[in-house]
Amino acid sequence: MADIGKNRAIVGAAAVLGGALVAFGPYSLFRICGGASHHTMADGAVMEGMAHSAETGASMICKYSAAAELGIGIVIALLGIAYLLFSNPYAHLGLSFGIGLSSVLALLVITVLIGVDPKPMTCATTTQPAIILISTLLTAFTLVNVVYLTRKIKINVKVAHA
Amino acid sequence: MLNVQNLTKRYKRGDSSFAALDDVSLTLGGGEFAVISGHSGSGKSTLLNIIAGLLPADSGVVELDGKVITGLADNEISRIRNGQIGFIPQGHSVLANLTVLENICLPRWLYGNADGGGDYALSLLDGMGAANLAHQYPAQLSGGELRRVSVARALLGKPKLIIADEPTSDLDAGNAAAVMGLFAAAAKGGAAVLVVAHSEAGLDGVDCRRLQMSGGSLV
Amino acid sequence: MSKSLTLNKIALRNITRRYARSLFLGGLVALLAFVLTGGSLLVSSLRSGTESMAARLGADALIVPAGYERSAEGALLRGEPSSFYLEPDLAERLSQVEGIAQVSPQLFIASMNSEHCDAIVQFIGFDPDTDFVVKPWLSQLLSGGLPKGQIVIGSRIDGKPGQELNFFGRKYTVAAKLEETGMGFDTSVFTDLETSRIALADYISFGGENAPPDADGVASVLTVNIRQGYDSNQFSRNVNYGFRKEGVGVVFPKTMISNVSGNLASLIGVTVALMVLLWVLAAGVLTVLFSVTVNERKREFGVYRALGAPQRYLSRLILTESLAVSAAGAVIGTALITLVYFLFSDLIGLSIDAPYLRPAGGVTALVITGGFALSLVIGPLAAAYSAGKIGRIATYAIMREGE
Repeated sequence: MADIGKNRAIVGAAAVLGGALVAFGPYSLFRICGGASHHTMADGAVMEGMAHSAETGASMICKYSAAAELGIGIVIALLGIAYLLFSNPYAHLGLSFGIGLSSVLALLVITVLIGVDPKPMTCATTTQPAIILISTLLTAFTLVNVVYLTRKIKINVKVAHA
Repeated sequence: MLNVQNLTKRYKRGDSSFAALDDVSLTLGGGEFAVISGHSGSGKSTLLNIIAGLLPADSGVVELDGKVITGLADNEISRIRNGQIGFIPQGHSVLANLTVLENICLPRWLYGNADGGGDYALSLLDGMGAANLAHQYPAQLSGGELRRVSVARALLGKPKLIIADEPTSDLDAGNAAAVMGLFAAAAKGGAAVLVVAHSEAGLDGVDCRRLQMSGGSLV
Repeated sequence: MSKSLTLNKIALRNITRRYARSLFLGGLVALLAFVLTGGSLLVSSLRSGTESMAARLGADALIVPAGYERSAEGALLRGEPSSFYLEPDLAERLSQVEGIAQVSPQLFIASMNSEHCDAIVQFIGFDPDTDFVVKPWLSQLLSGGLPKGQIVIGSRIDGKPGQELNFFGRKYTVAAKLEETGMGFDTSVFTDLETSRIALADYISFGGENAPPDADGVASVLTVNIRQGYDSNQFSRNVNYGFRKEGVGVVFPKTMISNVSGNLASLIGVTVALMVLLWVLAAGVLTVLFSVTVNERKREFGVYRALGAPQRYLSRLILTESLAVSAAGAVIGTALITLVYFLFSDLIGLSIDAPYLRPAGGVTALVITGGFALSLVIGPLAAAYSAGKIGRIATYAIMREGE
């Protein structure tokens, strides 16, 4: 059953990678705090954090989002590891649902559930688009995988009963 | 049913040419089973391919059921080959990406016929003791099973003429006999059957006309 | 019972059963679609930004303090906030220079990185009585003109009409918000000159960098329309020579625009040439790949011939397979780049050192469709050669088994 082996490797690896990016990306590759894009620097001074007024406390939004994505991303990655360990197609189907729904949650957290600081802060121009892209791709990928697994299970049942 | 007259085919080899077929004539009626043998290079495959319409002859005529089929356009001869000739080419000819049943039904689907004759296909497979293979892919089948699939495919359209190029060449005695038995049965059913075989495998006890080819001629 | 297999279903079956090969071919097309569409979107966005800039920089010349020419350019093109000032009496005398048809002062203040301001922006004050640069397109937004003391904010500033924003410790009501321009105006705040001088006084009181001693009569830039027929170089000499002791500089927006346009034209030229080259290369590679795979499969195609498939059936099968693979690749590549383009639009605009503006929806749709179409056709075009030859190859393949 070479097909299952390949499917296991590809989907599992994609989930682990996607989950890791969602979890740790906001703290590394697409950081939430780099300040505004450097092109709004005044006289070349580097900006450390967002200018905010005491009433809005706006700079915490990105931090909350990033913390939530850390948790969700780790869950996705762990589900990916489980996908690599199991070979049962029904288990794979269930895990795919888990990965897909978690990806949707990651998308919702960074957009509507918590959100990000307003533009042109880095988390709005970089972190949010990056998370949207990764979670959208993960969701689409698991959707295709669910369709594929469902058909494979149906065919195996048909052949077994033939 | 099949009438071959004065068929000649020459091939170029370097500066010279040689006759793969040299003025070959042959008649085969419905219900007749003929086996052509001869060593490699004697022109057996060339003869079959010209009769099947895959290769043009340099001269001569092939008639199938009274109609001349040499010199026809590709579309026409292809349709005749599809509907009236069951051709089993040399070697493996089962398509890897289709199941056994789909392979057998394929000739009927080529011209948009939605009815692939699946019931008849299954009964053919059943007759060969291979009904359980219907939904398998060729990769899972043995050589003998694959050959039976290609025979079933050739028989599906109840063709007037069945031609097979070396159908038993890579089969054991048991499978060879089974395949030749299928051809004999098809002949009994009214088809004209022409088989090329360079060995005697499977021909014990089979009632058939024996022909010999050598140097491009029937001897 | 087996459902009938049409040619399309057989093509799909061939693709899915040989998915490694299909994935590779489709991946190549996806990459082509990604780069083609992405390059085209970038080019059209740069073009759109330049057109926007040309429409908005309405003055023939800008007079600025000497040494601040680049700062003025930076503020206008890239939204790099700056603060620089001409002394009051200097501004007065400059407006008398020979060759001037119209003149109007503008005041630039960079807002501060502190709790005193809600965002880092360029404050621009204009004189409603004499201005001829900002008013024309501001009036499209506010038919009654800008109410005194209120502000108009650029598209990238977080705020809505009616909202109050804090600059230099003072609240200003937002009268309107500009559409995206792809230039410095997107992070600018516009107000009347008098209000901007109040803001400047606040700026001075907070110890802002490069501040003048006080705000009265101060201007940063004089926007000038040169008299019809008067030589702009002569005008520049008049200013530079007449005020050589005080030190002023002249910036010509049209030169700025043509420099940007010139650079852009080269960039566009190179980009288009590279994309054409990429397409031709991809077509060549795919032609070879299809030729190789069709040759590999000649026995398989020969079986179809043996079963009575006419040559054109095989050609259609090959073209259908190549179209399906191409379509999948084109869809994936185009969808991906479209997602990236829209998601990272702000980041790209902020990172590029040139006016960058997403073109109108219709233009964007056309560019994306064009990129998709060019990628879609490449598969069938590349397979056409093999599709034409297959009849003969297949026939010989089925005849020559074992020889």
